[in-house]
Amino acid sequence: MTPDVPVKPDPARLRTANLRTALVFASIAVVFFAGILAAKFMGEPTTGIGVIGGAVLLFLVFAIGRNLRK
Amino acid sequence: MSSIPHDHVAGHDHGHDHHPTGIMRWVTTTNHKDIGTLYLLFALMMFFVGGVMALTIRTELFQPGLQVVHPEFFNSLTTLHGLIMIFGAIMPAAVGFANWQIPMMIGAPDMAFARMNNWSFWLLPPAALMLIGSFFVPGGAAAGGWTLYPPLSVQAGMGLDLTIFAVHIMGASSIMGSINIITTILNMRAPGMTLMKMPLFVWTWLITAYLLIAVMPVLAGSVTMLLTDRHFGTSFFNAAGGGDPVMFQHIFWFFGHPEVYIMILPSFGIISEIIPTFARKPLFGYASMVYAVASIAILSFIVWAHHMFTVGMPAAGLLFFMYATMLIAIPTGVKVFNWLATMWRGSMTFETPMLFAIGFIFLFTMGGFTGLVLAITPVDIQLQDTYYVVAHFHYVLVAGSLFAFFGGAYYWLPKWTGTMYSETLGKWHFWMSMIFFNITFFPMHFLGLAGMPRRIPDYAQQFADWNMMATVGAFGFGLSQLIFVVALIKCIKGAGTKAPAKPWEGADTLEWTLPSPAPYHTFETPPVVR
Amino acid sequence: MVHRDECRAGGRTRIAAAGSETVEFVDAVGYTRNVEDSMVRKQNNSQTRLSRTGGAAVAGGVFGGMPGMASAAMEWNLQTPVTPIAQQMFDLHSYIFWICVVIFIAVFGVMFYSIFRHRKSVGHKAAQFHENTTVEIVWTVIPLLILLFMAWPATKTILAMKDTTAPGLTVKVTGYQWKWGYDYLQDGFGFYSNLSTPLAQIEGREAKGDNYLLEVDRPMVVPVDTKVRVIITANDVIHAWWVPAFGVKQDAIPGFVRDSWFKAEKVGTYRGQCAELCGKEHGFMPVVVEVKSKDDYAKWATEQKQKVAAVADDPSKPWTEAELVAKGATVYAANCAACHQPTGKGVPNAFPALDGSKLVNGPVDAQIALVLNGKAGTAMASWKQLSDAELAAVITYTRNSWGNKSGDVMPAAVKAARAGK
Repeated sequence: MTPDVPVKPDPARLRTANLRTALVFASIAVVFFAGILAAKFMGEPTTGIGVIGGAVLLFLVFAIGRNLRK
Repeated sequence: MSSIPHDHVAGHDHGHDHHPTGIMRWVTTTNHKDIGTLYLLFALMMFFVGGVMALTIRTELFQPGLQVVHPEFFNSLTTLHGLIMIFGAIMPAAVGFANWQIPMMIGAPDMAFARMNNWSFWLLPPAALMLIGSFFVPGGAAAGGWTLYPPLSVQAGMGLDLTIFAVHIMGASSIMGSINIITTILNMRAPGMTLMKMPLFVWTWLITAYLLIAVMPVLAGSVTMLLTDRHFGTSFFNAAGGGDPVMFQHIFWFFGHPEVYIMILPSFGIISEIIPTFARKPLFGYASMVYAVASIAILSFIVWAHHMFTVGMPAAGLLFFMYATMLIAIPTGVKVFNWLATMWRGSMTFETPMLFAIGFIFLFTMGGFTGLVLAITPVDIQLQDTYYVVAHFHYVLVAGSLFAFFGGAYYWLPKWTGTMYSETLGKWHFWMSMIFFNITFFPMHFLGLAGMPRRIPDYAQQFADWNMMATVGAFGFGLSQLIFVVALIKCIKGAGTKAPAKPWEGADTLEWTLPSPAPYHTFETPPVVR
Repeated sequence: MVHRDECRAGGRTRIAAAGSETVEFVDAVGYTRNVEDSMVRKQNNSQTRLSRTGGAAVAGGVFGGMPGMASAAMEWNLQTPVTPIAQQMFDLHSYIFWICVVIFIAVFGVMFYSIFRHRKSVGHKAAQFHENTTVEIVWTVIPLLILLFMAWPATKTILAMKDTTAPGLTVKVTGYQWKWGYDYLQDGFGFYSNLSTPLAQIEGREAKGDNYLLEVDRPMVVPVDTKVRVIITANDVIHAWWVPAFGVKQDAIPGFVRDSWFKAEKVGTYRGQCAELCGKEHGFMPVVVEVKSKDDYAKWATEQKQKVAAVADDPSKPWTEAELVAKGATVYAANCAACHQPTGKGVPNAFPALDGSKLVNGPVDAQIALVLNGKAGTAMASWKQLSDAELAAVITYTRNSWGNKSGDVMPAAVKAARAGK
């Protein structure tokens, strides 16, 4: 895995990877923000749990999916 | 302020840089080192703004009776002192360290999103201006405590709206900063730098950034609901309209408790770098340190209601949150024991960073013990909202986070500026801070036990002596911080011995392989880590 | 799970004013009572001295000798407890305190030994060990065991603390900005309890008394050796009712009723304060409870009931302006002066001046309506809990004091306005 000669990483690939990571986390933040408002607005405790649970699942799917491809 | 480091750092630019000069350089910079400097200087300024507020509070509390400020203004001071120190000083300082150190410690050329990095910093000054400016709007600044509990905060004037917007902006800044840090750490490590080879400072920041992304949106959501309750007739927290004021507290502390670990974890990281360096011995139990930090982060999500033991929860709720809170003592204890085991049979020297690190361990552990006392629900019933709590969180935040940041600053200043700090000034700074800190905050334990509530501008006679002592200590502590400013300016101006690439015998992280001061661009070709 | 006992008041009536926080409770006692089923009931008999473990008894002995709420200026420990629960809290604190002291000495003994022996300046060479799974397990398990020893007595105290069943007396406590209201629900009387420390002492124009800021005009009175259940709520913002010697601190939450209990075992006067930031005068709303012998309490309660009958103002009685102004001055000092100031000048940008105010010098009806209903979104609360005569008096007082001269208001007018709502 470790190359012996230091190489500059391919900027285009790095940039895509970075963007993908950033989008995952930004979406988590957005889901949490919108979720907490939605949960309180509908007044149902289950909404909140659903939102958090959904977000965690989504994150897991992303995390596992990313590693499967490698 | 910003023109001082400019000349210096610019002097080490590579020839091929064509960035603007003067103030525009700082406004438009996308360099992680420049942005780290901006964050740290901003945090230092806010630290003094919040400090002046603290000293005004202590002046009023010097004696019983109302002498200096009105009660309403007093409440604004305690509120803004808290908000400014947390969101203006401690958190930006931690991000400043991250910006400077993370790329250099993992062998990356810069942060993943250099332009977003610039935005996340430049959101902060407007937010700070809104907070400070709120003192001058009709009705004055927010005065309901930094926790902004409704219905009190619904009564407040325009100052509270400004506070809410400021919190929104700072939250956005934190989330952008966190995404940047996570992406940098996950994607831009040098070849061979596996996760379990990363310096512990990088690990603690990775976990902190996760916490930030999970909880800052929750804070933003709760203050947004507060805003709509205030202006758009919703009743999220208004009992008369079917809402529940206590729900705000649950949501707020769901943010608030991870927040305290957000403020302390980067400090754990800094301490974990300093102790092995000056003990000349590798960090003891690296893996268990990583697991301990992760456990603390996970536990931090299920303990929030220990801030609310007096709201009237059922016994089952009290028991659950008490047990969960007590559990946090275990990973925290593991960290302290690992630091001690690192020192054990080392070959220690006691330069200023090491002094601050030992001061940190000593005083943070005391804050940990008072935390354990407060975790015991029946005892907390007596101590909730008293000066005991004030003492507790100043032990973990001032002697904890702040001392670690001072230690980190002295540790890395030679790398950042190329000049060794004055050891004499550093030692004076440490000992003065250490002594006056304890004079200020130790008596507060007794005040809390004896029954002095927090956030009161005037108090009964039996609290007089300890309060007088605390005020004297506070002024000593405040003035001691000027020593740091002098030491810092001397470094920035290059007044001192020139720093070698690796000024600390025992240091072994990647940044010490770079020359001092660190060149404007580093690791454009990644190093190989074996 | 967390919100199970947030007993929403049954049958509450909403006050007409838009956005007002004020909520009335109809038979809150009856409602909250059935919530207690979820709590453990059986603790009552065994609740005394639950946490008296060996270490605690010793520790209690060391610190127990400290004077409680004397006027000495240097206090070191929790106040002397006078209820079984407060005693348990006190012992629990001492017990945990001493455990912490022992750990502290052990841990930092090791650290300072290392600092003095393992330093470069005495020629110590660094060892290179950096891992040992056994010690990691040891220092995870031992703290866990210590925590279990702390959690056990604490759990027993929590269960005892939450058991509010079978009270001998129930008092409803209401937090207002900035005073406490006490309603003796079984006996049908109630009163407000205001800070009685003179402004001159606060501003330093007079020497401060022994109970500076911890004294009230009318303290809560309870009988000794009786289980008193306090049901706690608030009228405007969140307050917290706290008497350290009783070990009771309970947030008072507008729109919700919470309860707690205490059983004072010693006659005396006990002082506490509001413990939740509730605005400008948060530091100036003390809690004072007088514990009387059972006989004295019975006598006091009878007097109160008689007074209620006698004092009930007849709203149709014609009052003279002088009478109204005199009564109004008292009402104003107790309820209004904190914000609007004794001078009527208010506080710029926070609390409006009444002296020269358009409203106070304008039509009477508008002023009655504002005082009755409060002003949404501001600190001006509804004052409808005051009697018609008190409201008429205080309005008359404001209309005829300082520079104002705009006529009288009779109690009948207030009664009419109240009925109209």
